[in-house]
Amino acid sequence: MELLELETGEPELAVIEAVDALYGPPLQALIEAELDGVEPEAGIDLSQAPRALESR
Amino acid sequence: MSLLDSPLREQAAAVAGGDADPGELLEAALGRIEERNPEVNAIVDTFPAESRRMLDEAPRGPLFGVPVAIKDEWPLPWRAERLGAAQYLGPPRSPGESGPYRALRDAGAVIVGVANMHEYGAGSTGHTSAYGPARNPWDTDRCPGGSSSGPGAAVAARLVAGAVGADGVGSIRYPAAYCGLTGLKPTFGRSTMLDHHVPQTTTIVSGPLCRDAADCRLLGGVLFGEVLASSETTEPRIGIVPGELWDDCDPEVAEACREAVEALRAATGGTVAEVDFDGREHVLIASVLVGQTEELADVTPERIAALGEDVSLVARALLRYRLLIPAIAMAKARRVRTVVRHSLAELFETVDLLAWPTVAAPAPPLDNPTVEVPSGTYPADYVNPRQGGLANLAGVPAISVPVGRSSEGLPIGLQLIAAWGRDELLLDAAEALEEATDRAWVDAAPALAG
Repeated sequence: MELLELETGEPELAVIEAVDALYGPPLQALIEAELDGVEPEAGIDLSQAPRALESR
Repeated sequence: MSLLDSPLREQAAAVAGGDADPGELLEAALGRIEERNPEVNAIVDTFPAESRRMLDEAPRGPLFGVPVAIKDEWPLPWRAERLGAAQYLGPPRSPGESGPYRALRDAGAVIVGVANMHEYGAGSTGHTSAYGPARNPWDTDRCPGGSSSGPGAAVAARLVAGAVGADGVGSIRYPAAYCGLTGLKPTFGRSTMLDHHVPQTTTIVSGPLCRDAADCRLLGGVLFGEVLASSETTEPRIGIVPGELWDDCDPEVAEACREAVEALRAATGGTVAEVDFDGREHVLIASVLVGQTEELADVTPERIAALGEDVSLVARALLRYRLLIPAIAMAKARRVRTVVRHSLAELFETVDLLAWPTVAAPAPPLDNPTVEVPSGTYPADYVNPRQGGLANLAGVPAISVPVGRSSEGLPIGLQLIAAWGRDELLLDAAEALEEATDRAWVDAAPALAG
């Protein structure tokens, strides 16, 4: 918060700590996940299936 | 019984057939909002003059003369959206002709009110709003679900028979489940999003909240700009995903949903098989990261610092927390999205529908929006994206269908998910499920609407 020059009071910090207690573990698990070898999806179109599969 | 208590399609048919006067229907709707809304706080703004003008100028479309509500997420020509918040996060918004407004106007519908929502759309309960929370008509001390809290509460309280919501991480389906309604989250890109405040979104869609699937088909078709054809559901291949999506739910919720899946299978000659998809363990956090950071492009530290105490403490803290999310987490979330989309595409070659509870537990109390599930007690906002985030992350359509009530009399919803573009299949399956359960859950009304 200091880096962002964003003043943050104790009440906000308490909420942030509570939120981090919940979301921190799955966030860390995501950061540590090995997601190698995933076929990239260029030009992603969320309204369609991934193109590679669509064209099979 | 008032025509207002009839489904959306019956109101439309009565007006179109000359059996009901649309002017009288409009005045009745405004009267009902005045009379009943104080109990549920679903509608935060009415504008009788504009509503009457809409009716005067209404074309004879599929919703000619039918009153509807619209979430406080869409600009109207006479009113900018306020997102259930006291202050904007980004630049101030202006009145305008949003896509849902245009679609409703061109269908001949009459917007009678703006519906409440969870502050900034950043929650699944609806317990926080600058207008005060909307209340669940089944128990007004309970959350109506969010972020489309007002649309859910308004339809369940029979203020209107249909309302337009928006769904970025389950925000149509959670209120549908909590309030005993049917809510469709369309395939990404199929429903109008014109002039939404997050134009770059890859997760949010507009969609209908109604009593049942037939009404969602009608209102959804208006938002899609096309007729959503109906077909008989025969021999659907239903996929059940083992693990937390079923096992970490309130036992009453899981049981009602299992019974509903079996009823659907039996009624349609379908099959049920256990299936799975890659990336499931990261769906909760990935969907929250993607869905809750798309509007940060409009945010600056100065704007966050300028938020006053009329913005909730939780919102002010959550905004700060989002600024601390590591870049690697966002990159990984996008990678999870790719993993999930590839895996779902393969999975939907072997199944037609995926099914699991829309929410893990019935509506929690407004003053303590936590839920008890087998793994512990959590804020509902933490557990719900695990159930609802997949459809937004992948772009696929999903629907919540009422399938029972808890021992406390609270609605239970089953979620069905289909492949991209198969929204109609979801509506067909929901209708088959309604028939299989003798419409017991879709026709039920809370006592305050009785």
